[in-house]
Parts: sequence; structure tokens; C-alpha cells
Amino acid sequence: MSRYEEAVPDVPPADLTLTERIRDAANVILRGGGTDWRQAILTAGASLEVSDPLRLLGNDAAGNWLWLGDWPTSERALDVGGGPGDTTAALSSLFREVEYLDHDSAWVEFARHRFGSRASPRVRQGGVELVSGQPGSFGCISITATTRRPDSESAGMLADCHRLLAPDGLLRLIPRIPLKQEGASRIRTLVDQVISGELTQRAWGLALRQAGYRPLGTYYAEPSLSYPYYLMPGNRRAVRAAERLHDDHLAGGRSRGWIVRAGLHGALYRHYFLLATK
Amino acid sequence: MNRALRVLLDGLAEDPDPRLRRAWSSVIMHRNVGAIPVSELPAGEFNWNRGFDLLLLDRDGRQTHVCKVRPARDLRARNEALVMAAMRLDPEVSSLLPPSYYRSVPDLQVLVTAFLPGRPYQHRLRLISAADWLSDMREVLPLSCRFSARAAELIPSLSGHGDPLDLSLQTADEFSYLAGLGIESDKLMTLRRRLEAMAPLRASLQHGDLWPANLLHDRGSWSLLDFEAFGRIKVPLFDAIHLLRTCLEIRTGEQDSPLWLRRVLGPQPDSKACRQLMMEAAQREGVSAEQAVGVLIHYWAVFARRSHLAGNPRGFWEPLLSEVREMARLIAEEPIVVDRLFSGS
Repeated sequence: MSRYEEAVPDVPPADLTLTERIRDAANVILRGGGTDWRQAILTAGASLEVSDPLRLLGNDAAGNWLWLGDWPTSERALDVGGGPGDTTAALSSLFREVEYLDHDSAWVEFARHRFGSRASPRVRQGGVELVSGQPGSFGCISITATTRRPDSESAGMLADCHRLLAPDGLLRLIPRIPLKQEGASRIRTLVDQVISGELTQRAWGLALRQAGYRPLGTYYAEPSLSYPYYLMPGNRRAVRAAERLHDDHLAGGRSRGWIVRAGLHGALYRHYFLLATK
Repeated sequence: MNRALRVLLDGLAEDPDPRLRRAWSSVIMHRNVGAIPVSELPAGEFNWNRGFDLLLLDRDGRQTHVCKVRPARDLRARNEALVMAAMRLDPEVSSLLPPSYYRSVPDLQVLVTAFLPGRPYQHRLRLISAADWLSDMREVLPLSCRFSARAAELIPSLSGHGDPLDLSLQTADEFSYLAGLGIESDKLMTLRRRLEAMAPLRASLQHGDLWPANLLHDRGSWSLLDFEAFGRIKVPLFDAIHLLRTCLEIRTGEQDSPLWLRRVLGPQPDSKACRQLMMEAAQREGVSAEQAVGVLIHYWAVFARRSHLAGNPRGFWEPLLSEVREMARLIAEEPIVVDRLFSGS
């Protein structure tokens, strides 16, 4: 009996966050042994009564953000805070050696199950400090930050990654997204999202510059980073064009147009990332 | 943007068609549905798991082009490029599709089309009366047929148009697959016998994905979009059934019954219009009412299998299995009702 069989309740509480649900789903997969991971997530999702179980995990299209940037010819890529491993999977099709890192033991076990015992991607538990190698040997680095705003720890991580990134290499930074406050008023939610979307974007941009990077831009992902059906530059013109494109998908009432015109995009799109180079 | 992609798009500046030569400055990635290159084996060969589209914007944020970006070995993108290039040269149907530009490199291929004014038909579809819908379909369905006939004449590689077509053979794989999904053997036998009893059809090239999102309506004129699957399906009436089914679903939702087959047989104006249009489409394509029921059986079987193969959640493919079961039930228990489907009554 694995430790998950003891740890996972048969009926998960209804108020689980998405991350917690994904972890539970991962546990079900691990319990299932050699089950194909996509089929297993369907099974897990069914037990969780989720309408679209595959949405518990991302799909491989989550890696197409790479086409928004450019990277030098290099054999190595790094995924820091790799979570379910979607970015690692995407990097693996473009780079010969990919390193997956995450501090969370559940994610690491899930990634080991997903990627098996291949030499690449190499799955390890921990942070960027585990990575050895020549400075400038990674063509692409993706970082999923553990904090909402930059702090001393993230500054150290950015500095480490700067050392590892090749000249003209591509860095993607995903700030942590705050969870929605259940029961909060609409005004409070709006203010919170504007603050998280606008101010923290600027703070991370500043942190990147201080670490020696050259920011290339901010991109919003809609509806999520796992399912980025839309990836749009974080500027007013692009957002207005995206809103016009498929208003049935993106529209959320008359106020949405006003928010777009006011440039408060952070209130519309919770998920974003920053691209930078060295 | 990635260097290889930018090089491909830079070629737009030299295209002979001025509608394609417009300058662009930034992109939005949309319909992002599959990794390039493919990182894991895709679940089936479907539109929704291959590559992404880019919307190209000018300096003022106006849409200038739509660009499909696909893996280099994707045959559907090449098929679409072939169809669009050939049909743009035909004065009879060229107005139905936008100018296009196609390039490829070892890793990827791009198909760029000029951004057209107008909105996808589904927006209009929700607002108009049943009579207007009937009128719209009486314009679109003949256009689609004309397009297919011209494509068969102009593109020799799209072979098979006019050949005899045995629908029971065409649907054999689907029936085997559906048996594995739990469709009862007596129901499958009913459907199989119906197909075996009908006269052969004449093959006709189909668009393959003709639904309201691939129809653009602008001030009374129509454009057809998305020819990736063009010619792969050669069962006549397939496009018409698909378009009418999806239109009716958008217009009526599940207000009366979750089953499309029951909705289309209802007394509502939309249902009557749909039956009338199905009858007209069958007559236009030289398909008898008996054969048309066979095409409908084939249609449900194809979609149920395809949806399951794609790895969709149960909520996607189970309703399609229900339609297959309902089709079998109607044929076995209410043959008079089945006759109404393509009689216009």
C-alpha cells in the first residue's frame, strides 16, 4: 500500500482549490501504477465530479508560448517549479536536455510518473541551486514563482537563472496567481485583480531588470496558463483586438468594454507571464 | 517572435496580392490547441490538437491577417493551401474565400489569409427568425455544392468525385468501434441492415467542417473558411447535415430534448425549416430520401467515433452515442417518423 492510499480521502471536500484537486488526481494516477496518465486523469476527474476532467491538467499547447520568443541554438532547458510538467514536456521536444525542478514532493512524484526514467527530462526535487553546469548553458528557462510579488528569495533565484541562461536566451517568468476570495464583493475582487495584475507585473519587470535581464513583454493567457487558448500581449491595442475577435468567448458584460478602454487589463485576465532575455 | 516564424511571415511583404501585403507589427496567439512540435502523441488526427493560429495586428491594433501555424508534416494545412490556391483562380467561386499565402520550413508551415470583415455566422444565427435562417441556408447550401463541384474539376488530386459509394462499407469501421463503446448489437444490426439495403451513392467532395463558425456573413455576402478537411469526406449530403444540425443546436439549445433527432422532428418553426432544408439539400445532391437516412446514420456513427477517438470527456461523446441509439430505435419502431426527416413535412 502506498502512502497515497492512506492519504487520499474517497470523497474530496468540495472546497478544494484547483491545485489541491490536481494533486489528488495525481495521487490517483500514482495509485494506478502504470496507467496511461491521460486516461488516469479522466478517471480521477470523474471521481471528483469535474465536468471536464482533462482540465485538471494542462495540454501540450501550453508550451506554444515558446513561439512568442526566440532562443539561441542550445541543447539545454530548465523548468523551475515545473508542477504537472507541461512546460517540461514542451521544452523536451525542442531541447535535448531538459531539467525539471519543483519543491513540492507530490508534483515531483507526478512528474516522475509522467516522464518515466528517461535521461531527459531529468526530474528532481528542489530549486535552481541544484543545477550545475557551465554559466550560459541553458537556451531557455521557465520559472514558476512561489510568491505573488518579488522578494529576496526570488531575487536570488532570478540571479541564479541569469547566470545559467545563455546570451540571448529566453526566460519566462510566471508570478504566483492569488486564489479568488470566495464571498468577496465584486469591487473588492476587481481592485484585488487590478492590483495583482498591474502592480505586480511592474514589480516583476523591475525585478527582472535588477537581475540583469531585458524584459521582452508581458502576455496574458486566457482562460488559464494550463489552457492558454489565447496568448495576447499585455497592451491596450492587443487586448482590444482580442476582445473583438471572439466576443462570445471573452465577453463578460458591458463593463468589460470600459475596463479594456481604461487599460485595467489585470482585472480581466488573471493569468499572465513575462518574457525576458539576457 | 521566433525567428523561423518571423522569416515565414516576412514573405507577406512581397506577395503579389495587395490585400495580403499589408504591414503588421504584433500578434495574438489564439486557437492555441496543440504543441509544435508535437510533444506527446496526439489522441487522433483532429483539428483541435494541432498547432495554433495567430492574429496579426497593425500598429493601430487593427486585425490584418489570420495565420494558421501547423507542424511541418501536417497534411491538412497543405490540403487547405492547395484548395485555396486553386479555387482563388476560379472566377466562379473565388469570391467565397479570402486571398491566402502559404510557406513552409522544416519545422513548421504557415497559411496566412487576409482578415475579412464580417462576423462568423453563429452571431447572426442567434438573432434571426426561422424564416431568415431558411433563406440564409437556401443561399449557403447551393454555394457549398457549387464550390465542391468546381473543386472536383480544378483539383485532380482530390479524386473520387462521382464514383459509386457503398455506405455500408464506409461505415463498417465506425460500427465496430461503436460496439466497443457499448452500443447494443441489435441496434447496430438495425443500422447496418438499413445501409446494406440502400442503393449506392455517388461520391461528392465535402468541406468536412461546414458549420456556422466557418461561415462568414458580411452585408449579404458569404465566405467559406477552413478547408483543412476538404475532400476527405466524400459522402454527399454530409456537409448539409452537419451545417443544419449545428445551426439547429445553436438556435434551440436543448430546450425540448437533449437529442437532436427529437428536436428536428418537433413542431417548432426551426424544426420545420430544418426538415425542409434537409429535403431540398437531398434533392439538390441527387440523394433519395432513403439514401439520405443512410447518410444520417453514417454521420452520427462518424461523429460518435471521432469524438471518442479524440480523447474528449464523456460529456462530449456520450450524447452522440445516444443519437446513434435513437436513430436505430426510430428505424426499428417508428419508420414513419424516419420518413418525415427528409420529406419536408
